[in-house]
Amino acid sequence: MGSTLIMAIVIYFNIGTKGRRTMTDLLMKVENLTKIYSDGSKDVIALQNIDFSVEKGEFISIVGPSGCGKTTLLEILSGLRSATSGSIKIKGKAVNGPQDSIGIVFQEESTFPWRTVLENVEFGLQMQGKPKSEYRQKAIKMIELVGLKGFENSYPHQLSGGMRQRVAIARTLVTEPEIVVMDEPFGALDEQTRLILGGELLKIVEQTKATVVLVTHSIQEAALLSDKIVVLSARPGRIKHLIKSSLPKPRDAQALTTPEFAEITQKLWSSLEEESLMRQESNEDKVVG
Amino acid sequence: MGLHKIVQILIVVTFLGVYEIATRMHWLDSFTFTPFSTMVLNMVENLSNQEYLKNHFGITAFEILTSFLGAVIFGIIIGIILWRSDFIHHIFQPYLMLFYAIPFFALYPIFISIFGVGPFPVIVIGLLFSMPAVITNTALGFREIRKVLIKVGLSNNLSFRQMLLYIYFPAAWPLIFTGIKLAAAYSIIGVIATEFILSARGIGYTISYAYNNFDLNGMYSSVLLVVVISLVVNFVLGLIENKLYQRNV
Amino acid sequence: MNSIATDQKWQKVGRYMIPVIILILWQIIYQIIGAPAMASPFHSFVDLRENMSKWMGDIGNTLLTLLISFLIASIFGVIFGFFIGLSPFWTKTLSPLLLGLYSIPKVTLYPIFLLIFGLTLQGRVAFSVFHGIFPIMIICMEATRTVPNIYLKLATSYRMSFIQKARQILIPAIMPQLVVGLRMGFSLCFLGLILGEMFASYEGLGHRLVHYMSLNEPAAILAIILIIVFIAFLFTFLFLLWQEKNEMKIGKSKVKIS
Repeated sequence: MGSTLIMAIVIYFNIGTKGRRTMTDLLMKVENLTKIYSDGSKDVIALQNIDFSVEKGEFISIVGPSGCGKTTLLEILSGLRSATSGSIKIKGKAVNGPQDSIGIVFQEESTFPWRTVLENVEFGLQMQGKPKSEYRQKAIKMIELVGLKGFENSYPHQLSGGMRQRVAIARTLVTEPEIVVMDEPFGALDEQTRLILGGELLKIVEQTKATVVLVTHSIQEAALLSDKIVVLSARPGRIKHLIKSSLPKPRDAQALTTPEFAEITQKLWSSLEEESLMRQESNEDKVVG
Repeated sequence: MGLHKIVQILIVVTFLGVYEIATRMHWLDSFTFTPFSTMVLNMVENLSNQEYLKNHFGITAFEILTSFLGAVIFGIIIGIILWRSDFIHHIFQPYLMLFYAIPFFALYPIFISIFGVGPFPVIVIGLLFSMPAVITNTALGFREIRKVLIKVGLSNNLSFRQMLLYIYFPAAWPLIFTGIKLAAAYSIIGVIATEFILSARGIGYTISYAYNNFDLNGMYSSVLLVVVISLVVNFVLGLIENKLYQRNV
Repeated sequence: MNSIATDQKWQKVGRYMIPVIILILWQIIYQIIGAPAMASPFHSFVDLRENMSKWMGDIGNTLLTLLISFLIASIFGVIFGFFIGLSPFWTKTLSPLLLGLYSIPKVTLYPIFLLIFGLTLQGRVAFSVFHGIFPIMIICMEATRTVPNIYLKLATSYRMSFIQKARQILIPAIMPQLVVGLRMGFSLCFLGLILGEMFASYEGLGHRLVHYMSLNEPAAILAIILIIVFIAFLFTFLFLLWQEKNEMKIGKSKVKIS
């Protein structure tokens, strides 16, 4: 009878955790998101009926041709901009402004030049009112994690562009947001640094178990890093494709040579080529001003 | 770094040396020029004279400090207003730009009419002369903050007070400090020039008085004092700026 | 579109309102203080009209002297600034010295000019040049020093002579900043000249100003001030137009003055 009881308990907990896991697995749900810009007389539809979901621990990339609304989507996701219609829910609660549960890393230089690396990384926690003893320790650990140990007291202007982006990433991750949104964080860097930082990002994400939404125009980056890839069409931005990655994890430089990688990049490339050509055709009617 | 400093010092020393010799040897007319050493001696003598200190140096220092502080405080506040309100910024902008085109000291009769004589008009002129520099630089400093830094603040859900304290002010500070440096220079110029033109007290006045009474030594010593004050203040502010600039490239 | 257009309209209105507000303030101050300390705007404008022909001589004198000193200050300022700027060593060495001289209240050196020159035209010109030459020189120096290296490399690869390099590359490259420097130099020359005329002259606008001050005629004083301000604005406006033309050429967007 004891063993039956134990079995019952085990089964119950298994079922229970499975159920709970399924519920908490869904972190963010974007439903029917639309954004229309009014330029007084003209209406520009930046995004149309965007629908997708993000599960906890997932790495999602959003790719699309230039001007498809990727950055607009990110700004709405992070609460910096409001949608015209539709909703974004994180764990069931609607997002209507910046929150602690969403962290964002920008493409441009965003480190504060007047703060040291350590003070930059501490920024978010300090603003949340956490005690210094706590945030200092966390910041130091995070700085080591992103590979900048030894640079705690340096100022951003003494670092390279790649190092400054690491500071920005560390600053965002140290506040342990539920979701980290990144807007082409490696866009301003050279190719080699991009690849290196991309690989490091994967390792960091694995260690911190972060959920990431990454906007990028690099097909390679999207294919290498993501679990799911959202392909946006040219303006008005709609979801053209949702590609699930079949690349095994963990991923490293070897992954670049696998047939799965080639397949994903091929799918992405043909999808984007279509969109880019369509956008070019519509641009040719416009007068350059 | 070292070589520049050495050459600078050499240039200044050579110039002063040649001047000293020229005056001593009477190659330069002694009714017009006094030797540099005499100037220095007289200046030091003046500064150790209680009466001079109180009636002239003290007054001038007080006037300069007051107009400087007034210009900085009011200038920063108005600069912030110009930052927050596009409308006000737009309507005042051309006038701020045109302000320094006017030979400001030609306006001093107006100030005499309104304020009379004494230290008050001097301070007002000094303040009004230096304030626009603070206003323009403050407004520019805030307006030119890189948008991404503001986005970082907003995405961290900061209150307006936090934004002001941790993002806006630190980001705008380098330009604000430029304005402060200019305010110091303009305060000194404004106060001394006005004292020279009209006052009954102050270092500027002593120069004019000495000249009118053919007191060459007295005149040069006061002129030297003004030059020294101006150089020291600007030098110190420059040092401070260099230390700040390091962090805020 | 409607809201942006009305915004711009209000901004234009606001700008033109400022002189009106100043006139109103002027009138109010007059009401408070009254003659003989102050004169109303109306009186001053009437006085201006009446005396315009009488003052023409002084106006011409001031303008002519101003032109001479500005030319001297510009030519020497640009030449010195340009050649010093070509040498990084001398730029770095002389910059602090020049900036130091620039920051000194030059009016205090005025008696020295008087001692040397007496009450002469040369004295006033010298004083005026002394005021205006510094910003021209300093800005010209900085502009020459910061000409992008790529332009210089281009000049070398085309094997240009120095004169060619200066004419075709260096001078056009520093033009935008040079114009700003000349504008500042002009304003300072004007300031120095007025000061000089106020203290040591028997002609010119500055002298007229002091003349009417001793006669205690506020209407005339204010009328002269109006002329001075007008001249300052007129030339500054012309310089700004020149500046705008230069900046539009190189694509730098600038706020247009109404």
